[in-house]
Amino acid sequence: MTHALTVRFGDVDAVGGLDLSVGAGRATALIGRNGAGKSTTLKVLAGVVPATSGEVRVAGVDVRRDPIDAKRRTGYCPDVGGLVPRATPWEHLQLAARLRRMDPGWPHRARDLLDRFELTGASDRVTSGFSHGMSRRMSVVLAAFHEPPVLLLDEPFDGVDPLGVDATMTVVREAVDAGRTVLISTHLLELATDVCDDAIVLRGGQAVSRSAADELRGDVGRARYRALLT
Amino acid sequence: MIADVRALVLFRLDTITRGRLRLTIALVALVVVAAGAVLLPLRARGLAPAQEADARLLLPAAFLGFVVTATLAAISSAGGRELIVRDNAVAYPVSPAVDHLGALLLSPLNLAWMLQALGLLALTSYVVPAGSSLAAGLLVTAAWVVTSTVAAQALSWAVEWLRSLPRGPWLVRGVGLLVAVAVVSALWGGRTTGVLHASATRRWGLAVLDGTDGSWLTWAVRVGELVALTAVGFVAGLTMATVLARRPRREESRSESRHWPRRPWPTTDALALLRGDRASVWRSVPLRRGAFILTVLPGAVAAIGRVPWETMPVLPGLVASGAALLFGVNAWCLDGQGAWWRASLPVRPRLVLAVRAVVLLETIALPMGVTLLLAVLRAPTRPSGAQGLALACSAAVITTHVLARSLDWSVSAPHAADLRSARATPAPPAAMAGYSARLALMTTVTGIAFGVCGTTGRSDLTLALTAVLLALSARRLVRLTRRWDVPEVRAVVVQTVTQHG
Repeated sequence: MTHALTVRFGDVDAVGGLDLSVGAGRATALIGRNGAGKSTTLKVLAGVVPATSGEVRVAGVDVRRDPIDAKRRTGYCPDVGGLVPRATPWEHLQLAARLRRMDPGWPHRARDLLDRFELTGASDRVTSGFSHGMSRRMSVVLAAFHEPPVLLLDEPFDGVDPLGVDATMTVVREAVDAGRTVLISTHLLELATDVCDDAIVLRGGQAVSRSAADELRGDVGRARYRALLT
Repeated sequence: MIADVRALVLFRLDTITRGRLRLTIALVALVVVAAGAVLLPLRARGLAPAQEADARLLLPAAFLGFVVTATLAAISSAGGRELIVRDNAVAYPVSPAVDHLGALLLSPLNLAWMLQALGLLALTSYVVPAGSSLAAGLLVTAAWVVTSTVAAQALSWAVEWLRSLPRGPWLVRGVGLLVAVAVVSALWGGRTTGVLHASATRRWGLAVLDGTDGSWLTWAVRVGELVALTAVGFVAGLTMATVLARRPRREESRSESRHWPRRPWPTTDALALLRGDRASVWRSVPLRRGAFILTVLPGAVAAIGRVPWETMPVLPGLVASGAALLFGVNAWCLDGQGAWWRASLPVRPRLVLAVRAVVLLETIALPMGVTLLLAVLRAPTRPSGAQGLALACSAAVITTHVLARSLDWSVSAPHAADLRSARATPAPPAAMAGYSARLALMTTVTGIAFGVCGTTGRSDLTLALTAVLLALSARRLVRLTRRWDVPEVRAVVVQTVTQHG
């Protein structure tokens, strides 16, 4: 998906020469310390932050050359907020359905997701009154809504209750079962290893390890992960 | 309390990462203008004794005008500006007393307040006879400015408290309507002079002259009264601020807890985006309140004041500037933290920009249309063709300029702002003062130019000026659109506006 990806903010390299390839039908965890470049990488893949240099492709589409097509193929849950404060969840979904050219059956899918994430009762309230956990759950709903070939979830479990975590995990597994690509950035190692097939550890904007997620499980896995962070 | 306010002021100054030089220049310019307001009228003294006598009679009305302006400014901003946004301050022990003192300190960062205060200083300089104590007159004026600001602040807390009660908003609207009816009936009933004579401001307005004719005892009593009133107003404001801090934010809560009806399927991408942007404006308490005041107040003043055609072309600038300051100067803050999600949607950036421009245009056009309609209907004379043309051209040019300028600022200098609280503004107070000064200067000069063209019957000049100014705004919009096409530029805007909270 990325080749020699570099993202520079002023004098700081947020991502420095990252090569990343995530296959279809797999969920991959992007893990690492704060400032490792996880969120920036997802933003580049989502087409909302341009790469300074390097090649970025999602589902075969060059993000810089054809950003609109690339955005159609991704669903992105940002790391913070992610919701327009004075719009309701239903209005978010309606806007997404319109711009993503979804078929007329979209309300059924919307209602189903709102129900699974326990947001039906709040679907016509503006999101500025939402708790952090509700906002996170809604952001996951928006990312997964159009069943994109590439699902990008940045900290989807942050501040979410166990039922919300279960709903997110179900959405991820459904995407993987349908042959889609899922990339999850998270600090929560146990959840990452539970739901993902692979794990990529980022440090200083570069990938320092790629392994099966199972290898980072348990005490041995945790120790190995910690060693990779420093 | 003073130590806390000092810490917050220093914190705010430290957060100014760009434009420090501009801020310094603005402060120096303000000192120069204030000095000019005091010193220049001194040179005109004695040249036209009859005008000086008239100006002395105007003093009480000018004093009344200032207190009315200060009060409207404080009430319309729901208690004045905040040293620190309330949502950001919840984790810190920022007391209502600090909030009160901070709002008072930030009161001058309002163009209407500043212009009126400078006008009062200039008027005082002009009416104090040569050879008399100017310092004594200026002291009374300065004391009046302070007293009025403190009283206005206390009154604005009281209004907010009233608004926080069950059915409070309706109560406030009712009281506002009664005040409006009283003012209109006084003005239309020809009782303006009587009202001004009975006004309490006459007592202190004329005290400016007490020091000049040797009535030092009266002067000292009046100054003492103002000091006492300031103390009472400060304590009253402090009490109201404390009481208000314990009240729930009813209006914001109601807006956030209500269920909004679902709209039918949007037939185009533009309509879908337009609906969202309009909702972001009209569901925001400060924007809705500001738009209402902007639609009602200038129109009422124009209707009551019977603005002559010579000065009518200035009106579009006043309204357009006010409308742009609601959110237009930082238009992308409407998306708040949802800006990242919005940026991830597959839609052409130019369409997103165009829709935002349309929503801003609507926000400017609605109050401007109402104001101009009332002004035209109540104008004291029929216009000449040239005057009608000048007004239409002034409205078109100023609208386009304010639109282009606001969108330009929104892209080149975005701010993180959450327009949730009734006191929220789209940019920090100092930046707002800068935007408002620049908009007011440009639009007023443009309005005056069109006024002169209309009065002198030079329609050819009106059309030429319109063509040139529209071309300049169009060029700005084209350049802005090209910049907006650059993904790096959009990413910086989104990164900035999502940083709130």
